Amino acid sequence: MNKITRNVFFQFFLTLTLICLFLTSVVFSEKESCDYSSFSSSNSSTPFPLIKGSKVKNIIFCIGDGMGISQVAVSRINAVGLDEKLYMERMPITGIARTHSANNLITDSAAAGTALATGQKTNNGVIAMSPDGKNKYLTILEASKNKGMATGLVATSTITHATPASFASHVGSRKGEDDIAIQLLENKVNVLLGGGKQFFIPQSAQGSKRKDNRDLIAEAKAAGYAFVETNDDLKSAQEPFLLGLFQLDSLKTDPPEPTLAELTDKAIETLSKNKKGFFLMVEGSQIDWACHENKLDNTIKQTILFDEAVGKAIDFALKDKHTLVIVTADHETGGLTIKGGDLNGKSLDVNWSTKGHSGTPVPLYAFGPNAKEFAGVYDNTDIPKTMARLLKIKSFPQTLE
Amino acid sequence: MKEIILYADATFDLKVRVGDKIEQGDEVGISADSGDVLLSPVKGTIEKISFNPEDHTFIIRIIEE
Repeated sequence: MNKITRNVFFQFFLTLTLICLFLTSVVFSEKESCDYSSFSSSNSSTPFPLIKGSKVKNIIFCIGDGMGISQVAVSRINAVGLDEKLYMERMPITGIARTHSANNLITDSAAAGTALATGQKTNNGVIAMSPDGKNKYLTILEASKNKGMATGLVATSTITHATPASFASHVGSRKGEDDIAIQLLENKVNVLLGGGKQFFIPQSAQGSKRKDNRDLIAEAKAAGYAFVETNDDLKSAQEPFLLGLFQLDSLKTDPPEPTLAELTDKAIETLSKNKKGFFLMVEGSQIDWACHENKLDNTIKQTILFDEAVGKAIDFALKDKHTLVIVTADHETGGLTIKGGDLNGKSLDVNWSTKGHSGTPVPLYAFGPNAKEFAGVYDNTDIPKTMARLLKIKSFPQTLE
Repeated sequence: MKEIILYADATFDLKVRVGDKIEQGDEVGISADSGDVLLSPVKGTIEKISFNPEDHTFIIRIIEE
């Protein structure tokens, strides 16, 4: 091989190496590094026990918006370890729920929230009403309230967002958040904790998104609610009716705001004073938003924040023995799959198949008395129906005139 | 270079990704609910797709060629 040939070969291999390096950086551009092991995550893989021989008095319904099985898996691998378990994964009963809406294989949070709240299907965009918007659907929260139970909604979105709204309001479009705010208060939900102050302050106030000059915070106070907007105020509140709005818009999910776990803890503390029991819905709202943006690090963060809230629900249920905790999702978002990564989970190689929702069925985890009723594969509308049966609520589901 | 912003509800099935070259009239997304199709008004490149949780919408930024 002469000198010229050697130079040509050298240049060829150098070029090939550079192309390979470039392609590697492109192909693995979705590999992300993140570490949420410092969160107060589950530190065990020991399953929580089956609770036998007691009746359901309270229900804590935890909904991870957009949380499919892959979102749970990447969060576990990254935050607690490949062979460990998140709090929700330690719950002894698992199931799988279908999620389609009345008019679409791919649901949105309004139709899915309606299914999970009322046991009935509706069209995408509709909140707890029939697809034609003519009839209201009774929600499991309203049915619980009618039975004398205390009720609560906790979310990291605006408290008027589609999922919490589905449990205590009835509107033809999820976009009517100012109307939803009125209905949440008219429904006398005991505990409302989340973001969305902009829908509760009069149009004339800075940052308001209301279309009228009603001051819903003043109206809530007049109706007996304590209003809080800081973590310190939240901790000291003792009233049986509690309205906590910690941002004009959605929560930032960063300090100094209370965490979803702290909000859940306070909601349980407040609601559990009711001797007839309580129904509480807790939503990890922003898992969905992280997945819409195909952001793995925020997906893990939001899922872990949600799992910490689940941990608080289980802490209470373990002591109480009459509390059923259900964890599920309204739908999967992003079409997330795990393609590879390190065994320690600090670098994960994932694929997002969409920026929207997917039609993949979602996991369900159950703990507490009669949790075994939630084993198997079923429709999302079956979940509140089973809850109603266990609470001995008759005539559910029910369409109101 | 002119910047064009399109909005689509997050229930839309988006047909484009960041970096895609598109022609005027190409499908950007299809509504999963109504079947409505969102078409690109210009020839250009998809520069950014972000999500606005408040309105539950995608914001699609196109740089016109």
